[in-house]
Amino acid sequence: MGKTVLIVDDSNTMRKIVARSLRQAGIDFDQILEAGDGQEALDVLAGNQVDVVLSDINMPNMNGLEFLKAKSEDDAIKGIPVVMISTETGADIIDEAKSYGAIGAIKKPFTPDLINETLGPLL
Amino acid sequence: MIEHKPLYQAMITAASQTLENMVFLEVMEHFDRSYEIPVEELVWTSLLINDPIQGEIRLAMPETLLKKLTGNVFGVGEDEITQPQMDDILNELLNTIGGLFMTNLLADNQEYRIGLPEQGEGPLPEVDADTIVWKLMTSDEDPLQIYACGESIVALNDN
Repeated sequence: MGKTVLIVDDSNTMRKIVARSLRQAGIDFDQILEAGDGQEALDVLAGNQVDVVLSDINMPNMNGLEFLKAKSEDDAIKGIPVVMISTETGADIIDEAKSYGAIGAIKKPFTPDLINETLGPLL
Repeated sequence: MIEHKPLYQAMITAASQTLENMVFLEVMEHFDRSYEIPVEELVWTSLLINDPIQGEIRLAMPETLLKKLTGNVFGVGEDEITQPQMDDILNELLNTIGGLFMTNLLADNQEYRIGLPEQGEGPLPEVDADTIVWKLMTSDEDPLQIYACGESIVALNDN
């Protein structure tokens, strides 16, 4: 059965590129949902059954780390795996993201193979 | 044969990987090092490098190439493309190129800080002694150019 993925990025372009990479990676998704920042992502998670979240870090309103923190405090959604997608590579940021529950990080620019390698074991 | 220094190569690699992975375009060095994109066709954006070196990176291309990339990414025809979509693509490309350039330049896991891309208007600032230029083109021979300026960036090219 196909899964539902949520892509969180303030850039419409990046959301389209991530969605295209998911399709090219051959991962069977029924539905790809999108959110433009962390708050929108929380709203989407509240109203939808989501299997995995791919989230940017640098976003306006509520950034990726704030989103992770808020999500980790909500019992209903804290178990949904989140993979960060960002140009940020600092170990501190990635460690902080992991401390709030992110299970991995993919650096931009990514390939469909890298997406498959990272998401495959989660699904 | 041109000898490519690490800084020069870091940008070529960053641009190649970004364009190939994000918009499926192969890029290479332009065969004509003196080629300039005509000002009336030019679109460009710039990004500040804040730490651990300071400077600015600019990405420039003809509007026709940007439209082509935008159409590919959004899966729409040329007449359906909007200005915000084009701006977003140009900024995301530079943001990713800038991040990868810094990763290629710095030691493993060394942190860096870059700003947010800002759309440029009119002609590009003049190239001076503190500017390095990369003249590239796609496999369809559409030109694109990258500029890095700032004393501390140029100093790296001399090392």
